Amino acid sequence: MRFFTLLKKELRECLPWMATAAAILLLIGSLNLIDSKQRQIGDQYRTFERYSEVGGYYLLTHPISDFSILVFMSAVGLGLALGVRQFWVDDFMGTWGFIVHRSTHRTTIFAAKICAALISMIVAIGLLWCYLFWLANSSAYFVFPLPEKSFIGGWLICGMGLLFYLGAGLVGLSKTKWYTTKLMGLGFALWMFITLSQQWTLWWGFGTVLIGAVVLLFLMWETFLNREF
Amino acid sequence: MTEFVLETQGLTKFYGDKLAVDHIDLKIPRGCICGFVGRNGSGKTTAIKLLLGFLKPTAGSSRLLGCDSQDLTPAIRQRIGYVAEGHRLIRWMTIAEIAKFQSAFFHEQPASAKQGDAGWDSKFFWDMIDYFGLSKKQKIKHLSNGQRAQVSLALTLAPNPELLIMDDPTLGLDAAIRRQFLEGIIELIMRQGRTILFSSHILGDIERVADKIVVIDKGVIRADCSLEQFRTEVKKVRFVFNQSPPQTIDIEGLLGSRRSDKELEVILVGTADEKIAEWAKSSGAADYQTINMNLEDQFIEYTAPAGRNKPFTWEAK
Repeated sequence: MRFFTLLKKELRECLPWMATAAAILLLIGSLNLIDSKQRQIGDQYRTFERYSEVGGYYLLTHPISDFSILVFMSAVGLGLALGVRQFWVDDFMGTWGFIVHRSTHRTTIFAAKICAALISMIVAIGLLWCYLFWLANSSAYFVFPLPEKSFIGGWLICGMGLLFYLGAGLVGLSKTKWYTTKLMGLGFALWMFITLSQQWTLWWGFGTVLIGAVVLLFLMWETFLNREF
Repeated sequence: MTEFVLETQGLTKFYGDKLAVDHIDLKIPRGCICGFVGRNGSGKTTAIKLLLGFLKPTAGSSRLLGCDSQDLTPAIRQRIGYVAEGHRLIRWMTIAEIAKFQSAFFHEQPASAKQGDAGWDSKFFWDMIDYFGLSKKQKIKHLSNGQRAQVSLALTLAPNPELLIMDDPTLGLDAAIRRQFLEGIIELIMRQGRTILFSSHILGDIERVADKIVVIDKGVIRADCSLEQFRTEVKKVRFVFNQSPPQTIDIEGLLGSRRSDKELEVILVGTADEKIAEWAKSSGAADYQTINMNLEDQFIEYTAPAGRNKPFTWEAK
């Protein structure tokens, strides 16, 4: 009951960011698909030859390559916005006292925040990605359907957004100085992104995102439990 | 045996190398209304945050309702009401939404509950909101400071807390709203066994509701006594001399002095009237009188910096 009350509050606070990211993704994504369809006419065979065997590479070489960048930008943008909203704004507004003095464990408060962010990421980026992928794959848009690997590649990009969310949250929670370890969370997320871009395979990608997320989540949880408010 | 609802032992807090709270030893018994007073930056908010477990002490410990402040369980937090400085609430919520949010952390009082029973008292909350002339559809972000304070008080009192901790709740409120706010507190006091720790630097408010006063200055507890005792023991005495007042003032309980050509004003703590008369005689004073002070004057004199013995003067160019 208490968890769901907190989750509802967190979801409401994530909603404007979630809606903005989803609207941008849907609008530019749809325009991009229409544009890609027109460009594809007469260019379909050349496009086919540029396909690679590696999952993510399909995305980057397909006519909807701009679209993958858009998904990436939306996921990272939303991740950063949610991290700031959930872990910085209460500091600025001085509302931590009201939030933390709840008759519940701090872990419950933290879990509600993380769950709300996860739901927001899945709805705004993940589900929209599924929809746009289905749209791109329908014969109305492309002659050659996208392979399944590139679908999973889109979810990996979504996972990168999650890493940036956790990184931004950790920066917000950290009470160290800007020029010391405060930026470590975002630095770590960025490092994970660079590691991921070095060798883009599905297993490597998922492994990197998973390890990064677990490390950041643990650091955040530890910081939240022991933080002074 | 007295039951202490709030206890601290050597509670100390440093921010880096700055000492904010210095070895505070406090004991507040059940049913006590304690005014926690100090100037701006004296350590009131830090002490309250330490008590509620929001900050970690550098040394010492504190207990609320028998539970260590650093390990307050949800069940204990439920019994403690907290009004934060500035009444910071969730801005996007309406009054109805914030009431629903707050009530989710308490069990709803059954219809058969008596006044003073634990649990969320919905009727009490809405009666208070009506009394303040607010509507449930108003958003927190559209409320004035005073209205936010009223909502904050209603939210805190509705679950009928055993211990109420308020951090400068009347700061920035006008006289009328401050009065309504204090009436809300008095309403809680009427319920037996409720304990209140009430920080403020508006001494009139403290005087109206408190029965104990704790004075904190630069992180150190300077007074911890009943309000009545404080009112009786902090005195200002003016001695009149026929010549210049003596340079050395060897009177018991001397806190500060201010001198002019033929007059000497002293602030004394706990000095018996006989001792004052004795010193007046021995120092050659022609006359002396005890000057009446209100609590605010007493507090200002009591916490005045040591070197401040002259009033501020300004000469026009």
